[in-house]
Amino acid sequence: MSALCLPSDEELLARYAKGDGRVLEELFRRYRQPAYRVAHRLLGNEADALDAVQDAFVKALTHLDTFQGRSQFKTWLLRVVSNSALDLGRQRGRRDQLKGDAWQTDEKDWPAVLGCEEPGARLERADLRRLLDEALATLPEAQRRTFVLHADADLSYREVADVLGISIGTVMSRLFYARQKLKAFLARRAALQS
Amino acid sequence: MRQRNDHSDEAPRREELAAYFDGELSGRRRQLLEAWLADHPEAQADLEEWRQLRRDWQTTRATEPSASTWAGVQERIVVAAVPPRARRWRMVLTAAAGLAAAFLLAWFLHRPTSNDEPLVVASAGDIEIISMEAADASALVVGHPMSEPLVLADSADINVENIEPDGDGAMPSVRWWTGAEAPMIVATLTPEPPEDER
Repeated sequence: MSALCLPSDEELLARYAKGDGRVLEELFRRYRQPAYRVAHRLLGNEADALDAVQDAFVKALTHLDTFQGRSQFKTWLLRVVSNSALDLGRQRGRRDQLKGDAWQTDEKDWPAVLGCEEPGARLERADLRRLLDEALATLPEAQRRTFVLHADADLSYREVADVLGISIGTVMSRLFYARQKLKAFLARRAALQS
Repeated sequence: MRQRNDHSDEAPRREELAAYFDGELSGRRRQLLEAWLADHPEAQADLEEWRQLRRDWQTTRATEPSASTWAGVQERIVVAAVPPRARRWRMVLTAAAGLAAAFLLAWFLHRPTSNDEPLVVASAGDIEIISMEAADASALVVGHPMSEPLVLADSADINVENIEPDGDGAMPSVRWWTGAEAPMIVATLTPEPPEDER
């Protein structure tokens, strides 16, 4: 089916509201990947990220009557996803503190990118991901969320502003300071290792 | 860069570097920032580090789950997320089913045993009073209590036709009362003498 033939999100949602459950498959196909990337970046492992994605889709579809079309379904869904991921992350943080475990990235989430990645390169990538996760965790939640929505869901400034209910200027400021903090953390870490 | 005492509205803000980096700055603001960048190598260095950060960030994006994993997630979403209209129908059907179950239960508990006859506890021919304590004289009722109002029998309703001895040959002592205060059970009655003795 060509892109010209694809129904809009609004058309799909209208059909879903009338009881057509089949449109769920198309909505899920369209937005599962950006939702997953946001959740995975915020949570660090596949299992938790899938739980957050599933939870977000269920919430979004169950509460369509509150959507009211004031924003795009995509941005609304990603708001729910990032909320779910942050909530789950807080719960997991409390649970990890009780267990005394460090927050670690799950290496099994890093299969070879193109099927030909050498184990060494894969390990480097997993290490790099762990380092970036540590850097991300040092950001205030608002900056962290803004940065992930832009960098992992590929949202424009306007879309990020829509998701978070803030101005485009605030998006810009948060991204600026988030990048500066990440850069500083990585520089300090590199200096320590050298 | 805008200083505190710089009231020029056209001077770029440092935060606009982010917008410039992300391609969100255009027109006059972009031109001003590019001109400003040319005079600020430290900001250019920032941009280069941001480019490296972006490359690292994209490299470390999680790979997409398998098709079977997505299928499992979708299936669970389908089960958990009922469409609004279907949810309303489900609520209506659930309420209707509950109401129907309540009516069914009520009918079952109070249903008649046949189409024509009310529930019969016992007919007159089913009862043979052999003996009775005097204290129980007011306890026996006649009629069909489930299908008609209770009717208490008084002595005028009862006609003792025959009294026979029990298995031991003893004749019952039946007492008979009359009047409004009479209990509803059969009262004592002096048996009639045999016909050939009348």
